[in-house]
Amino acid sequence: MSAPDGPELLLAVARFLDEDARPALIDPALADPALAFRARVGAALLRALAAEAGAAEALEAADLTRLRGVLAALDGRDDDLDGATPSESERRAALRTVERALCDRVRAGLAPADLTRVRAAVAEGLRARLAATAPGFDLSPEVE
Amino acid sequence: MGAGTVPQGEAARGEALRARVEAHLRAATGRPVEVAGVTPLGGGAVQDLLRVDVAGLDAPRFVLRSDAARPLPGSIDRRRELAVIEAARAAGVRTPAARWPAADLVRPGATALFLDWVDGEAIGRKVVASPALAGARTRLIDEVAVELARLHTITPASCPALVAALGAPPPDPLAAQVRALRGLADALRAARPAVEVALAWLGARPAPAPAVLAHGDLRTGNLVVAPEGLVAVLDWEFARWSAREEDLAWLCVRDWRFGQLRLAAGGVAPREALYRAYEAAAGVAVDRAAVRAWEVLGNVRWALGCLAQGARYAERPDLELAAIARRAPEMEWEALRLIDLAERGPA
Repeated sequence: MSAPDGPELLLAVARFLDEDARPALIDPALADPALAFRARVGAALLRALAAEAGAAEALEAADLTRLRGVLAALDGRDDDLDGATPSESERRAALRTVERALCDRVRAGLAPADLTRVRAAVAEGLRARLAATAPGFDLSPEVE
Repeated sequence: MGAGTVPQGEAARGEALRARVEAHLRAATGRPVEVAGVTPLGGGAVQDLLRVDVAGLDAPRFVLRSDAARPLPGSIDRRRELAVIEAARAAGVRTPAARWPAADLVRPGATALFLDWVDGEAIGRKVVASPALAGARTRLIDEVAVELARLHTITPASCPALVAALGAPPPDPLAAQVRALRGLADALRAARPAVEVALAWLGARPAPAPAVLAHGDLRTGNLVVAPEGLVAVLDWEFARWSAREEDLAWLCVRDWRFGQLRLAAGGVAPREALYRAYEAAAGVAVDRAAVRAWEVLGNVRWALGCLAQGARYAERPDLELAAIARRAPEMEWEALRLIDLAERGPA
């Protein structure tokens, strides 16, 4: 999946500041509500990236452990974690592999109880991620 | 480049477009139309939207809406949109009339339509919060329910011409959308466990339903609202044969509430108010559990929509495209939360 990653997003905000915001600071005639809205989008992106920078490693490590555990449980085996601490790129690649394997298993069809187990694990990961990166997002089960 | 100056190439293209629009309107209406200007309108995230100022017609301005260079999956082109708009207006739905279709007017290979201009507020976060619209908000959901009830009187049997335009109705509209979203996830190469889990849950719930003409994108943001109330329903590019619950659910999708979380119906009213108003207007009982299922699907659809915007970032490095892709986990969380609620008991 080609969603822009952290460095790409930082470059996007830099480009906005340099190419769009700076000219409007020099010549106020170039400023308009759309530019102000994009400045708000950029600021929100930077806040999210700042929050994520401190949490990414722990989030990904927890996701990897949790999803590997679910996959192992679907197969009726113990998780075969080797205990070694992977590098950031290894951990990220391993997480992508586990996510893909889990998607394939779900797509192929699971018993209702297994689907519920996978759902709970996936929701737990989303909850942790949103709590760290989207502090304004209401995670209470009964928001309405 | 200072403010107000335009590169010469751009100016020449603008003048060429103005002249083409003028020639087309003269030929289509037989009147000595003069086009004063053709200018881009904000808000056209997908279709090309332009404002056309004219003299010599019954109104001084129109919206010119052209096929997008890269349409989103599931969207219809302007020829089919014209057929949908005419059917909706014939059923009494308040939406701007579409006229004078034109091939190759804005871009080669693209069809464009002229839409009547309507005044009012369409920006969602303003519709749910503007003090000037406080009175309108008290009756907005009742008015929207009436429009939906009118729209949903259109069926494949009542409008065979639309079957030619939109294709045959699926016997199980929810299952058809699950298949479409799986295809979209595959096209995006998106290994998203939450999306797969939600689609698997939906796929296990057969939901054959009589097809009606659904708007397909009826949400706060596609409603034009004035202090007097609802002015018009806009944007028919996702119109399709579907279950009536799809439109009711899409209006309730969390992201269209613009922070008014407890006002599930578009950020302006509780969901039960929408259901009751629709039942009163349509004379049909709303299947609450079916709406819940469609709302799960709506959140998956919007999660994948966010990822699709992110995929476009590689071609067009735009700040908003980058930001929106990052919001997919919010919709994924909401889809799973709604499944939990559904599993716990009646909606």
